[in-house]
Amino acid sequence: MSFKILIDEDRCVGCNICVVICPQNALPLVYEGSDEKPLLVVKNGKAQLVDPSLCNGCGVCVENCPYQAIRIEFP
Amino acid sequence: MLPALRRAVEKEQVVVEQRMLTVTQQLVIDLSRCVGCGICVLSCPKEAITQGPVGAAVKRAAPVPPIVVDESKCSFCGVCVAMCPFGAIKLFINGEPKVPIIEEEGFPKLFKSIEIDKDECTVCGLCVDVCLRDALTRVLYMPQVRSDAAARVRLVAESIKFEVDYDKCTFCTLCSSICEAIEVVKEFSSEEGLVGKHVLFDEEKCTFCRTCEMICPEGAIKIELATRDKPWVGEIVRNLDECIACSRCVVACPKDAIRVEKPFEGEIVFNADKCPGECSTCVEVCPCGAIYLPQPTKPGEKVPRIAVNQDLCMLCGACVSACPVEGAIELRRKAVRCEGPETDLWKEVVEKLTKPLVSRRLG
Repeated sequence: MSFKILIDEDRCVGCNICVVICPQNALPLVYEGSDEKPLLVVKNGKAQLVDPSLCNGCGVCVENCPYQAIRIEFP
Repeated sequence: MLPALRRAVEKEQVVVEQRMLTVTQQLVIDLSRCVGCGICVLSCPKEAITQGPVGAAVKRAAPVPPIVVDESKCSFCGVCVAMCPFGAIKLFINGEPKVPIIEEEGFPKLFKSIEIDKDECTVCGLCVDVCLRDALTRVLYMPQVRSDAAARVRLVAESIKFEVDYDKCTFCTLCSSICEAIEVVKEFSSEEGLVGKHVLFDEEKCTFCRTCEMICPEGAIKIELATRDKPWVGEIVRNLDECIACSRCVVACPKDAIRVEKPFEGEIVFNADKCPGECSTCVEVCPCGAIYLPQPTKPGEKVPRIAVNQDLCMLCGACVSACPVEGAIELRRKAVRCEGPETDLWKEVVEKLTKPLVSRRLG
């Protein structure tokens, strides 16, 4: 992966919008019983990346985060 | 130490530079034109180009470029310049735009064409309105005629015939008093009285308002206009460098006067059942506006989550690159058209481009 997803913990309030809106995250929900892992979860009130390699950089989470807590960056 | 390599992301462009003793080569990627299709990624003989977060980059959700050129792998050959359907990559040698591989016939150009049938075209400009890339411009040859009624009439008039029935005309000069195109000449002879009966007409000044015909108390004036076969008002000017061969103009043209030949042949398939919906990344990255979210026409109607208009698609693959869902979009390019010598390198590139592509995680 040639880019990084960065979650700013100070800004994140754990609202769960990124988890709900991530198209890659939707897959385990759509196909019940699939062994697909989610890309993002909210744990202890903060969003966390579970498997960043799933990300294709569509930018939907960045656009929809109400707190501008998610960024995409190049190393 | 030479060669000195540098990569810099400037405002709207990425500059990859190789500086040697006498030659400086620069590959410049115009981010306002790059759609992240990945054709350069597949075409690069050195595998020096990788895809970034295409969706986020093209949507400007993140300040990152859709493609990354590895300056240590790039050989500045110019194949990506020849292949980019969007004119987003340029090669500069010592500051001059140059693509030696095309100029020395080592590689052809990607072919595309747009033809407008001038006999059918009515210069309505619908094609200009729907074009997403400023590839078409409407040029009107008309002079400023809004406030010049005579000039306006000449646009459509082949000729204006003005006839006076001298048996009826009484020389009253009513017609010439209301119109500067008409002049009544009176000739008086001492011997015979009034002899000259001339009503002069200046076609250049006539606005074909027909007031003369109506005002003549004797009904002596008859005025007729012969229209041109086709008012010659202007033309649609093409700019092939800007055209991406999406065919929006072809679909919009009410006279079927435009013919577009696309660089790729093949098909694109959307597996709408795999699309989670609501993401719309493909819709936003598509440079042709070919992808849409179908809307139900009546309540309760089931529509697919995503769909594509094949006529508008130019098979660039930007949607496949940007789609975050595995298997939702499939692109099968079958042929690639070129203009120039079909070299071995070209054949290799075509082979890579015609492999089926499926949207997937980059991983």
